[in-house]
Amino acid sequence: MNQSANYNLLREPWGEFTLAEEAIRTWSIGPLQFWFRLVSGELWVASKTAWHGIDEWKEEPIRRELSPNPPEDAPWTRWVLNQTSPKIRLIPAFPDLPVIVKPEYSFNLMTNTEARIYVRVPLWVRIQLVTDPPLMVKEIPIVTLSQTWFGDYTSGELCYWLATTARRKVGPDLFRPFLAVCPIHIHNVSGEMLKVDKVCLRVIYLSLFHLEGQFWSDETKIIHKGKDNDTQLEFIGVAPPEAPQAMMVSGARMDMRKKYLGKTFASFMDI
Amino acid sequence: MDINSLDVLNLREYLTAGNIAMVARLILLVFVGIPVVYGISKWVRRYLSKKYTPQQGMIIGKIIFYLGLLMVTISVMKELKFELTPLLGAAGILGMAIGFASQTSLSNIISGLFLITEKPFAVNDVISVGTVTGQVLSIDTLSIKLRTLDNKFVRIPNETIVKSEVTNLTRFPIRRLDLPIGVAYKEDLTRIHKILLVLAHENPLCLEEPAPDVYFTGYGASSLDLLFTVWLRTGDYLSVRNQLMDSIKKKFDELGIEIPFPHVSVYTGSVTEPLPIRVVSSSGEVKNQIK
Repeated sequence: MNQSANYNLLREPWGEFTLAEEAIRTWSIGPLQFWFRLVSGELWVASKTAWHGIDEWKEEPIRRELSPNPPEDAPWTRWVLNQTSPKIRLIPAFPDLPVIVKPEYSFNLMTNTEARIYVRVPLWVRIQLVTDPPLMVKEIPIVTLSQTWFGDYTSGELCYWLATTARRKVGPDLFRPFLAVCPIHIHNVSGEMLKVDKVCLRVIYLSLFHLEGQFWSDETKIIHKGKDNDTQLEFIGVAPPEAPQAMMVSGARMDMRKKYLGKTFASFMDI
Repeated sequence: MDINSLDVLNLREYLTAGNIAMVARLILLVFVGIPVVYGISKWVRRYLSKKYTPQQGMIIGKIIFYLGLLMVTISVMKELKFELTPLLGAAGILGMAIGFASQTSLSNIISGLFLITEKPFAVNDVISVGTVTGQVLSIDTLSIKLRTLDNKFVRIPNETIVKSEVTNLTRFPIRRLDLPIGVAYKEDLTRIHKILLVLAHENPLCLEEPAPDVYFTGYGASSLDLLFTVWLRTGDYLSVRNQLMDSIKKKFDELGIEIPFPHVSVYTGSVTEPLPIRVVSSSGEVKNQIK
């Protein structure tokens, strides 16, 4: 079954819909609220993301927002289309930058030992026009994440800081429809102990799967061989063992054909 | 023109095989040599511009072109049987005279070469030299050109750059923003510390790491002096500065935290006794006295 058909098996608002002229359609997913409108062949989109801790969000995440107009601090953005009745597709996607996540409690991984942790990553809403090939309109984060720097004072990369913690176990009580559960398997094959204080999860290489209302990513395997620069990353590419029946709903933002070597654990030296 | 004209002008003497060969060599040197030199210098410039920087490519390309031109000129003069020795002598004297006259320009050119090899900054970096801050538009042979933040054009000689302290504000991808804040002596510093860190956390452009922090810098004349530091991407510096200063003021107003203006407390020797005031008329009569 192709990914396009898989979107339609997801709960609203994921999937495809058409807009009538001047009609406004609105939804909210978790803390994100967004509006769509078609005006004289232009697609108008507005969105408002609340700043919330992910763990605090407990209410029913998907509900139809009755307010016809977005608030003043959520202005419309407009796209001129060459179609009169465009079909819009909403797809869940991972963030566009790596995410830094801290375990619930930092732990030390002994040599030749493996550990499995789970990270819940907030998804983005990818808005596409259903054309051949599909045209991307915009991507909106469901949760506004803070930025952080992974590297040193002279070089590094910009990442998102994940306020939620990485856990050794995950259960249905932690599932949220706008969060993807990402299993990370860490294997310390070096001859020294590995302190796991924070992990850089490269979500741009992850694929997204869905099963019974919950999103999952494929497994990330981290093989620590000694110095942080020699850490090897593998992205399995299939549904994780925790949800083997899950369907793929979107592929990775970037394909990684070779094994990735790079920094995963250390960021700044304390001075 | 008939054959007899040639005899009159003695042109026949000159139409020897040797002379014809010389003319052919001269034509080759001028009409082939110069284009070849030009082509080589252009190729070198393009190659080095891709491999290194456009400025390095330009300078080396120009050096190759002028050297090549010099070699063609010397070759032409040798073909025409000019004596080069007296010419070299005159060139030497002329060179000394030009050298004395153009010391500054030569210094700028050499300083420019040092700048290109040392690379303290590149085009599009924002630098501060003395009191001038601006974006580098170009690094040229004699000077660099800046566009200031208020859109003025500034030319700084290369010699000045080499002799001065230059601060490159955009060299590194992240930068720290330091905000000095003063609060009234009556405020709780621990509470202020927490409030400021929450404000940094709520601004998505403030980096979580390196972590923001608040330092107590001293007991000021009118306030407790703090330094609020946050890290951010270099390009976000100005917008985050404005956002944070605005949010600090709003939050402090909302929570009733006083940012004192400079003031002086006057005592007459006792902290608890009020300051006595006496109103005296022009004749010296005491009109009013407040103790």
